[in-house]
Amino acid sequence: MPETLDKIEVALRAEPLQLTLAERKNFKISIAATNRGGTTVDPELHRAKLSVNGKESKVWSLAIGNGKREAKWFALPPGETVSLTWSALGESLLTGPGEFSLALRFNEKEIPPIRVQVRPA
Amino acid sequence: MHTFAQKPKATQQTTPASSTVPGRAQSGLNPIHHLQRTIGNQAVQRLLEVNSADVTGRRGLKLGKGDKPVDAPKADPKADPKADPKAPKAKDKPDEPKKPAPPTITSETKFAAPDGTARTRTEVGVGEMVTFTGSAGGKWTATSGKPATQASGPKFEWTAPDRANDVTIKLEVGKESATMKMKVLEPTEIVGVKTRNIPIGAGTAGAGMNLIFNYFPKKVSFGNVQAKEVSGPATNINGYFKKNFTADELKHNSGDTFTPIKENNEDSVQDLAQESGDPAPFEDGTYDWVVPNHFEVKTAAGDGKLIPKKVTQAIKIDAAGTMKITKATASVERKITEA
Repeated sequence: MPETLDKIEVALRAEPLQLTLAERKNFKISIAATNRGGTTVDPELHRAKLSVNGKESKVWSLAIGNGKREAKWFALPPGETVSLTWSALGESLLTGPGEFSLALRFNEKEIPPIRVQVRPA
Repeated sequence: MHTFAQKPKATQQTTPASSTVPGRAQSGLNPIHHLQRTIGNQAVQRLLEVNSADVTGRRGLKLGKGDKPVDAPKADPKADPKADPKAPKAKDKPDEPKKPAPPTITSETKFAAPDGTARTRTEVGVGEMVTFTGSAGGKWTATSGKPATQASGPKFEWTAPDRANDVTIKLEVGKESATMKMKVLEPTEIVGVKTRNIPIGAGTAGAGMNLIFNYFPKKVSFGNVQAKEVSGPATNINGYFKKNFTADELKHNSGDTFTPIKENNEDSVQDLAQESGDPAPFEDGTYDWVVPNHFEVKTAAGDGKLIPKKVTQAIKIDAAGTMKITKATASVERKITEA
């Protein structure tokens, strides 16, 4: 990993944390990156890996690695934050009823996981 | 400025020619012959009969030295029995005001066309803004776009409709009018231009690139349009990808968010096309995303309309872990040993 990424602070958000199978289409998951350094850097967010119950998610990998992005996604100035929300990944990430642990790993660091509960109905 | 005027109606010429004034014949033409040509043989005959005594001096008019009496002229074979239509007739009024010339319209688009076509062009992109200027103020109407009408004024600020159309702009000045035909075009195709390769990291299979979408045709500007990719399934899933992933895992989740197109028909944001982190062992494999793109005018609401030519993002891997991605004619290929 490039040293410039050491100053990039990454956060993962998800909502709602409790939902039914049918409500998965309303599930939203976001990533936000803030540059705590003194120079503009490419945060290389396509390197952020999401594990769902311990298994690296291909769905997440393709979602974060593809699509249109604002300029800050590739050149994040000091003190600024760039974020992106997906609202159509619920059924692919949360594959059925049960407990899901969503853990983000970026620049060799793992962010404390988010727990989502999916009820049958 | 492009100029277009409706074909003028035939108008009667009312300005008398100077040669119709007796005694001011055009050079080299006998004044009487000139009269014959302008007012006709019979009229000249009548004039001469009435005044023949004066002309010949029999009524006491004295001729100057060297003057010769003028004989009654013979009919001029070149003269039509009827008067020259250009000559003033008894009913003509030389001081009658001229009929106003029909109006004309010129046009100028707000945005320059990316291919350099002049701003006077009559083909415009959906939502493009055009200023029409009349040779005189009047009532403006447009068969589509906004506004549809404008009661008066010398200028008409018009925005093309949200969809392809043939539009007539009309300017009415009194009883005269002028029209201009405008053709409104939608985006039909997207071509990607690669701006850089994305670093993946040596030892990891994958490839990635940034690219800028260019919206065609470039003879018009889509500077008042936005576009988005629409999520969808993967197709052509074979080999390595079929063995390691489900079709649901390979779906394209684009975000489905509209982004503005710039005046030069480039998207305002960059696209990211990337595939990385796939596990070994590798073998040949492919999958495609055939991506629909929608456009809409920035002020519109809704899901937009499909751009006819879809964008294909094709992903290919080989047994050595070399990955190749092509999208909208741009491509990147990377070996696993590269940065």
